[in-house]
Amino acid sequence: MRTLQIDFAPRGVKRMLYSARPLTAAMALAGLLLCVCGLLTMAWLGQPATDGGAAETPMVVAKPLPTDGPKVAAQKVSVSAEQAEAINATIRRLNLPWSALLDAMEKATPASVALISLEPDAKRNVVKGVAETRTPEQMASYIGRLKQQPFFGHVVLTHHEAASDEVRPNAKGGEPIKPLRFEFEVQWREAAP
Amino acid sequence: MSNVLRIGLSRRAVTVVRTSGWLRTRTELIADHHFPAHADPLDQLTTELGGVLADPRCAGARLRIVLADEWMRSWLVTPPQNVLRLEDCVVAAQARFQALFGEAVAEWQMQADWDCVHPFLVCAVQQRLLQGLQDVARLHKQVLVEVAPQFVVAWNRWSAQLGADAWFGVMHEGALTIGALAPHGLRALREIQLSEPAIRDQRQLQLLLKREAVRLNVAAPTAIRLCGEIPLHWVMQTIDGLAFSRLDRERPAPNLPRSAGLSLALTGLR
Repeated sequence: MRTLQIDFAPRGVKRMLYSARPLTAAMALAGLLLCVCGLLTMAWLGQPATDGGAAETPMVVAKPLPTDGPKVAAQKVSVSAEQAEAINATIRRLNLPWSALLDAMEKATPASVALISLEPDAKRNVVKGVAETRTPEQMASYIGRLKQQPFFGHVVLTHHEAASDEVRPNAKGGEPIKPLRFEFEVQWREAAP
Repeated sequence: MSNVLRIGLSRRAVTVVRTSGWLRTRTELIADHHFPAHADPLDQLTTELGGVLADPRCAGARLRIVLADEWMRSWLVTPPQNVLRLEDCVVAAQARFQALFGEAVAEWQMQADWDCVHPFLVCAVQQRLLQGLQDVARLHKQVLVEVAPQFVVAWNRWSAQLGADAWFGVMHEGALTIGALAPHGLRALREIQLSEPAIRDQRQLQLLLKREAVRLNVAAPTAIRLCGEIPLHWVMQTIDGLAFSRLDRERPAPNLPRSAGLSLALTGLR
């Protein structure tokens, strides 16, 4: 049978310490000793190696660290123009506003438009997209909807064609569907700093 | 283990035993005081205990207090089916207290072995008694490590040897607190004041247990494991189909004289 957890003694740290069983107390003491050993080992490993051996070690440990002494100047690193450009390009890619971009895209895209790909160009703040619709009217309407999104600036239709090589059967039994494939470029607005 | 004051508190006496030692426990009787019959036991108790703790032999000791079950109100609570939080169990226990004893729980402090699936034991002690004990301990700069009813202390001491095949009983000054056991733990708790004939004739206990089993709607026990202040003439063998056994066969302090208070104070000592 398991024990009954009924005790009217007021709870507190002293009570917890005093009511610990010998085995529990021994394990806690062992844990404490391990922690102390670990700290001492870390402190020992963190000391700089000296050739002088044991005679020099206490001097290094006992010497207080300068708190208000001369500050060490940060090492200057020179970066070439190419390197700076590469770094900035990487930063721009990392800073792409994916969440806002996808939100705006989702709001503008109706069910009649199949969005095939999106390729952002962080340098120009432009995303290139490829999509398909059934009719030119749906395509024009989609471009209009993109322009209405406050996150987007310029929207340009760069290319469109009837994808004659991909004739798909009509589910309603009519004539086969020839999708209209088009490409566009959307420039997004920089967020206010 | 080192330097602990084990204190047994009943309505008639306060007994203080000092135990010390890590591997081999040494016991020393500090006090075994009986109260006058007309006195208020709560006032007497704090006064007597304060006087005993002023003894230099008690300095720096931890206090483990065993309360006789007569100080206690104990009952079992079946947790509500839709229980979600601990507060639901607390409310159920408080409602059961009011239904059983007909008074508000405000003057009592409740402690329970909370369980949201099986029936659990709840004990309540008067706030006045607990406050008195805490004041005395604070006055003498001692730490209260444990304050628990005798049945709970004895249960925790012998829990490894308890099973659903037998009932468990703790005896003190003619009062027998019995627990009917189920596989998950305690099924029911009853307190019986044994009459002189029942104490004299051990066979009557079987009839009492059968009656309790009928009242609780469970099968009559075939075995009972006892501890506490068992009458010396009771034999630990099977009598009329009920197997008696004593859990505390070896007295924890054979150097001290037998007394009800001493038995109470040393409950749970290993």
